[in-house]
Amino acid sequence: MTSRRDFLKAASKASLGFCLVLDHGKILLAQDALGNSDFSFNPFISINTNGQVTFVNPNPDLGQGSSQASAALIAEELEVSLDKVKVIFSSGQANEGAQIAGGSGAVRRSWEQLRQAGAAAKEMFLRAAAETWEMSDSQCKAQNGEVINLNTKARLSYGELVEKARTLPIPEKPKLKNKEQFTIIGKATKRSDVLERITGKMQYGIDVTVPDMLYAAVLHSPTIIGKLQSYDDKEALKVNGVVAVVPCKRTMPYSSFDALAVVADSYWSALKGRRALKGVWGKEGDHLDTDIYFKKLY
Amino acid sequence: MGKYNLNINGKQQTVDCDADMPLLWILREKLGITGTKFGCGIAMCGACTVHLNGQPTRSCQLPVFQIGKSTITTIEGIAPSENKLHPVQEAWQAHQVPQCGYCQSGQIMTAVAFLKNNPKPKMEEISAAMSGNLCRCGTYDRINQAVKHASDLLTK
Repeated sequence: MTSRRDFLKAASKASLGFCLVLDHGKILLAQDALGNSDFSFNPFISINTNGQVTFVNPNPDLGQGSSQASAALIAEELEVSLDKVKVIFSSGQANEGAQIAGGSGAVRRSWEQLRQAGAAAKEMFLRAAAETWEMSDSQCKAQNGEVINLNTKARLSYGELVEKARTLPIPEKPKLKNKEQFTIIGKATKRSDVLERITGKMQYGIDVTVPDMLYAAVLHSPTIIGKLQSYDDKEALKVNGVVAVVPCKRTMPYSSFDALAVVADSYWSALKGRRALKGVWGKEGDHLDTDIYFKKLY
Repeated sequence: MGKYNLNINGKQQTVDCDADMPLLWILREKLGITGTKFGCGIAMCGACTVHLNGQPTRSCQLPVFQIGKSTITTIEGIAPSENKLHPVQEAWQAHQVPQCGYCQSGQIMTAVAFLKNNPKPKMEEISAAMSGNLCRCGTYDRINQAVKHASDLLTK
């Protein structure tokens, strides 16, 4: 496993251009953040020498579109088109900080900080271009991933400016756009992930495999809190592919309930094994019984 | 265990499996064709819908021994070519239908079969035809609009 120190070193190498880290609302360059022992390196934004912007998103998104909204916050202030911001998700490791989805908070929580990071990077590109052309920032304009020299109409792309920009101080208070200046935020934008979701190519949790993977299908009590009294796994273990039957717990906040896991070399075998498994359950909570409920459905 | 020859998306495939193995799991686990999804496993939700001889079929409840020489089409097999979408998929894209998208392979397969039988449906007919495919994200309205749009694309 890569430590965050190694990761940041790699991320702040020249090949990646420059990398902004948001540490408790403060914007830092990745290489400066290395010295800070308690920071978590998420979210962060890197911009490489091709001008490709990568946003490592700490907020899981299963289709609600918050990742695109977050990318829009960056793109808006950074002055790049939305398709220039590639979103990848953080890996779930503890050292990547809080990685949560909930309470409709992904955009609300990052509304200021992602915009500020975008704006800070844009100001650094402006400064880098202005220094190159030996003029003031106000004679330059950032637009669509480039800085334009308003006097000569010359252009320098963010990719070309990355090396210089990363050596400059990070603006303390980058200036944010006002609402009337928005061209991406608040506008209808097409989602980038529709194609894979309508062609069967999108990878979901159920589609992931790893070498020598086993699958488990869990048998629960038909009542919500029924305790396991005994079980018979003789038939389940005869099913092709079933490896083991393991008593386990369904853990819920403040409580946990008995369950039985059928472990097999394929999901189908696990499901078939579960069908052949017999559990004897107590009557606890029998005012709601899924066996009875399903019988009523058919 | 036995050997079964299946015609899937125009290609002949041989699988070695139990006679009661459902088509869904043959696709997903024997052949690695994973666009078809497992939802409820009891033919209630429609996520696993494929075509059997052009008819929408719940693959989670179709054991391999019943398939015989029937042709099977999955979400991977409806587009006319690599770079071109089926008109129903085009309509799905135009209406930005999916949210999480997990049910959408099944939704699309149901819609494709429906429009073959009823190329110019009324909105109520679309709603009724699609009502057996559940969507937890609640994209029903966009689904209905997209089926209408696909009907226009297919009959123009």
